[in-house]
Amino acid sequence: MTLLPTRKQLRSDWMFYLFLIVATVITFAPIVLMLNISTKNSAQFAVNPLGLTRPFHLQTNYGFAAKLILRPALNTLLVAVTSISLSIFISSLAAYIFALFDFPGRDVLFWSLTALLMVPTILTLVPRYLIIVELNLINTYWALILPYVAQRQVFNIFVMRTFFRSLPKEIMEAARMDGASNFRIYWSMVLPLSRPIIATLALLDLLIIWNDFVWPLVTLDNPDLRTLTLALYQLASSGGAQWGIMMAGYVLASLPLLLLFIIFTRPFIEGMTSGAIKL
Amino acid sequence: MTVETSAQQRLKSRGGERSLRARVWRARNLYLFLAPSFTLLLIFVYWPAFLALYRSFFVYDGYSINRFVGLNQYKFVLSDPVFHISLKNLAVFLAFELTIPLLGPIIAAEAVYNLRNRSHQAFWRFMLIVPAIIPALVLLLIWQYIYHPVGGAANIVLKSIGLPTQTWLADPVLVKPSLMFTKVPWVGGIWMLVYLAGLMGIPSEVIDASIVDGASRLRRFFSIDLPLLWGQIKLTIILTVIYQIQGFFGVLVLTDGGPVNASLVPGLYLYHQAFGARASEGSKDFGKASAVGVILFIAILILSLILERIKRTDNEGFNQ
Repeated sequence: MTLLPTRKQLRSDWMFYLFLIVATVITFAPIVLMLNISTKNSAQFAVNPLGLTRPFHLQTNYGFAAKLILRPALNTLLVAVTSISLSIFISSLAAYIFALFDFPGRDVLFWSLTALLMVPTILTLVPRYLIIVELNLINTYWALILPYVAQRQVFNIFVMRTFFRSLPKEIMEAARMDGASNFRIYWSMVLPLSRPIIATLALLDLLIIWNDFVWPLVTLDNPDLRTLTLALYQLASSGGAQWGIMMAGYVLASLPLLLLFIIFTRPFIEGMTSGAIKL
Repeated sequence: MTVETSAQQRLKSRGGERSLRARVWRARNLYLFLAPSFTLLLIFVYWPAFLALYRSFFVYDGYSINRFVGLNQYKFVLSDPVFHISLKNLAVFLAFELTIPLLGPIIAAEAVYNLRNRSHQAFWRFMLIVPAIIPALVLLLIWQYIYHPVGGAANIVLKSIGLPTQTWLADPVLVKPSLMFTKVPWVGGIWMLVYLAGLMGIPSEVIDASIVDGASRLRRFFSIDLPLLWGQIKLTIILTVIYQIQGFFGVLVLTDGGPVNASLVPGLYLYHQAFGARASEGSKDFGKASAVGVILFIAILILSLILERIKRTDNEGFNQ
């Protein structure tokens, strides 16, 4: 497998290759810029900010940046893992009930979920903050976790409900005949069969929570609790023009998701393009 | 009524109050499964949505001041020249978002889709998605460096080719184009995947038939791909409009609406009312912010109903 097109492919597809190469070069230019500056100390940056300079000051820059963002990164990780586990658990339960059972009030409840797709987050931002204040949750992890779980599940319920309905009903019927409870069927049949879709949704949730900036900015000011995005923002506005350290911090903040994505590219793209996720 | 027809009797035994209660009782475990979901939704989505409307009739600072003022908050916001500026800025940003950034992912998806080599398809698809995995804040902060007046990459490049340097994000004229430019080249991300999925969903017979008929690629794009992607394109338009009306993340990070409101958008206006601008603490008025939220909600609702309407009538036309 080679990335070089054959002459025949080039003759018919050169326009597309050209477009893709140009687009990719432009897209990656800022990223390369970040990597390059993250190797410089202040003197090197002052003399030659854009060119390659030697020696690389990786240990100083990355060591310093790591110290600054390690705690915030762990905070974000803790919040993300807790939120995603809770959100996937309770929304898959709800989706299971909506997908496979008939009971009084089902349509009304489901309609009230659909209506939520029309409620923009900007409308609820301020009152949600006031509720967090009233519940005395400002400056706690729960100020992030509970709203994340609540908000992420709407989309998750929709997608999982569609997916659960496509599962073969015969085996579930058979399990019920054998005396399996509803929860048992959910736990040991529906969930294992839905692993790909759950992984895709979890990854989407992770992207959104990892990137969120406004909500932590509003609800946290305890330096011990601040999330990765808050720490990066403070690093950027701390001044001092320590560009090397700042860029090293940006690189470190990007790495975890990049690695995770590279590992899960195939299932993620398949999940996104299989048609299971329709907005 | 003393005489019941058999139909009424049947109706009663199937849907009457007693049997409804019995059915609810039989389904009690199912409600239990739904309870965690709906409890959280109630506290953090339904209740705040209602609270936004309620608070918009008050002057409320979160502590001591809490005064009912009727529609005064709405009157103030709708006649506030700063809010008008934010609306004009929004119009400019939105108009831009509906041009190149809308087309880019379609063209990128076409380029990937049309490669004959399968492994090349996978490679370029990967390269186009990777930037979407870099945290949005990191990309914004890199651009903050690029636009930095001293030592920023943009000015270094200008200087090296003998052009005068600029202040970029601090320049009232350049600030909007500079902000738009942070998403150059407007091709990658999740939307490219959505379009690619759409293209892959086109039945191969349709494409084979067009090749047999001798249609050029450009012809095929306009006569087959574009009509069949219409659903996704409209979805993009609706979501772009919704996102732009309420979004303010990039502006908050890079300019905080400045210089002198040249990049202020309504979402950031709301944020400032509630939490203050970066430069000044300002007076907190959650009531005013709630009123802005309700106004934006209504705007989004009306616009999406209109766009949805267009979508539906179009589909009917397509079916005929």
